[in-house]
Amino acid sequence: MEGRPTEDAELIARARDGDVAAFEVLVRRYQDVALRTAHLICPETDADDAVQDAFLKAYAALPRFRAGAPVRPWLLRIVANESRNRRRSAGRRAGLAQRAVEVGGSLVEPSPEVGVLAREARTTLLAALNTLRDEDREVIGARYLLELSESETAEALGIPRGTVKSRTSRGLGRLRDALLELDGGPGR
Amino acid sequence: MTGSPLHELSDSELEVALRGLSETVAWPTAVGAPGGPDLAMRVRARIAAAPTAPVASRAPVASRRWSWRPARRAAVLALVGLVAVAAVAAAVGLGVPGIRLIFGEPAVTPPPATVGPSRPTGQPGAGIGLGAAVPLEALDQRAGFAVRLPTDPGIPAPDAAYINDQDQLSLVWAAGGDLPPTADPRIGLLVTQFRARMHPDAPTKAIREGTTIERLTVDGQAGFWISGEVHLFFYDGPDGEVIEESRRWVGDALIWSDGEMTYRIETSLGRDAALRIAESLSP
Repeated sequence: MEGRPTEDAELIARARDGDVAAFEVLVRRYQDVALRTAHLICPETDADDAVQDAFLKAYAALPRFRAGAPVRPWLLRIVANESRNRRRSAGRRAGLAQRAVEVGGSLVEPSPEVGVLAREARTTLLAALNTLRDEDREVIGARYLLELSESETAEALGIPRGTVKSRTSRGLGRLRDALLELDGGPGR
Repeated sequence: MTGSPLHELSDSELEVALRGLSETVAWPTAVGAPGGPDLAMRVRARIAAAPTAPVASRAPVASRRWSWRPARRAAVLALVGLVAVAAVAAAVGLGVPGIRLIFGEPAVTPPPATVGPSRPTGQPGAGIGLGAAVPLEALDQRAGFAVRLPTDPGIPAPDAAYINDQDQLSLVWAAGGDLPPTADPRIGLLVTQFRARMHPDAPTKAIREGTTIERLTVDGQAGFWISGEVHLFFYDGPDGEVIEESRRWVGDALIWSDGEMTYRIETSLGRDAALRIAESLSP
């Protein structure tokens, strides 16, 4: 999943040496997944603000970056920590929401892949996902919504790989329980 | 797959469904207003406006005197060390209590620390990232160490206590009476204690324009009085990990380590009052 390790390492080295433009390239490379990570962990607050602060912290922490380590999970870990801090301060709990896709006034499927599930089923699945405990939602979201590898998920969320495995398994089970409830129970 | 109820999907089918779901989530985007800067440009602008890292050589003119290129940093730190040694000698010779190190132009009026755009109401300290509320009668038990409380007669019992996920315990006094408000108008005094030691680079990392750092001693332990806005602060955790301060401070701070513990007092009362409170702390 780590796309361009050599280029990343070069950008890190240049940024560490004071090249702010190199850091900007790095930010632009990972800003989308960083925003999604922040939103996944804390949908209650402004992800843009959290990610900006996280990247500033990453910039300040460049001297402590371990040479040769993958950059993306390191950045995402800082984003995740910042987002968790904000979640603790957030007064209410929100969830992920579906985006409206409209063409000519009527809802359409965003892509063939998304069409695997009908719109109503997607709404139910998202609602079930939103019922999960934070730690389960983070792991399930990182693995499947953000499509991070197991090791990236572990690094980004600051937990051992074995915990990623166990929380994934447990999270899918709890997701199924929530779906059963939302589906109206067995036999429906 | 679509014909089965969702709860009957296998794990692999559920995984496929979740991956497809991602495309329909209303994710935030990095693009700002049409034609405006994206997130990366905004981050770059903030770095340029307020140098945050040991690499500020391309920052505005005002910050260039504190360059952090590695070679220069070593030279600058060596110079600071020499200045500190000279200051110690001068302080001892003159009987001056403490050593004053001022980096950059001291502001006439230090900018107040800020605590974020929104400040929830409720008991003092709630909603600023101090962690979960802790009953005052269970401090030691919840903290896992002997919590020190001020015995200064001018300081009443704390109004609230919190502990965060880094086991940092914070005692909060509401503003009022002899405790003027800090940058958070609800808080008059904040005392934080936790297992860690100040990272050797922490005081220099805290520097930004208008921030002054004064070296002093608290009950024989080396400490710092930091006034003005603090940017970054680091600690060495009990397992050797580097702990980064996770919130903005609410005011000027007295900070020192004693054994395996670090203590921080944030107040608007000034250095001498903070020292009195610090030296009155007792388990």
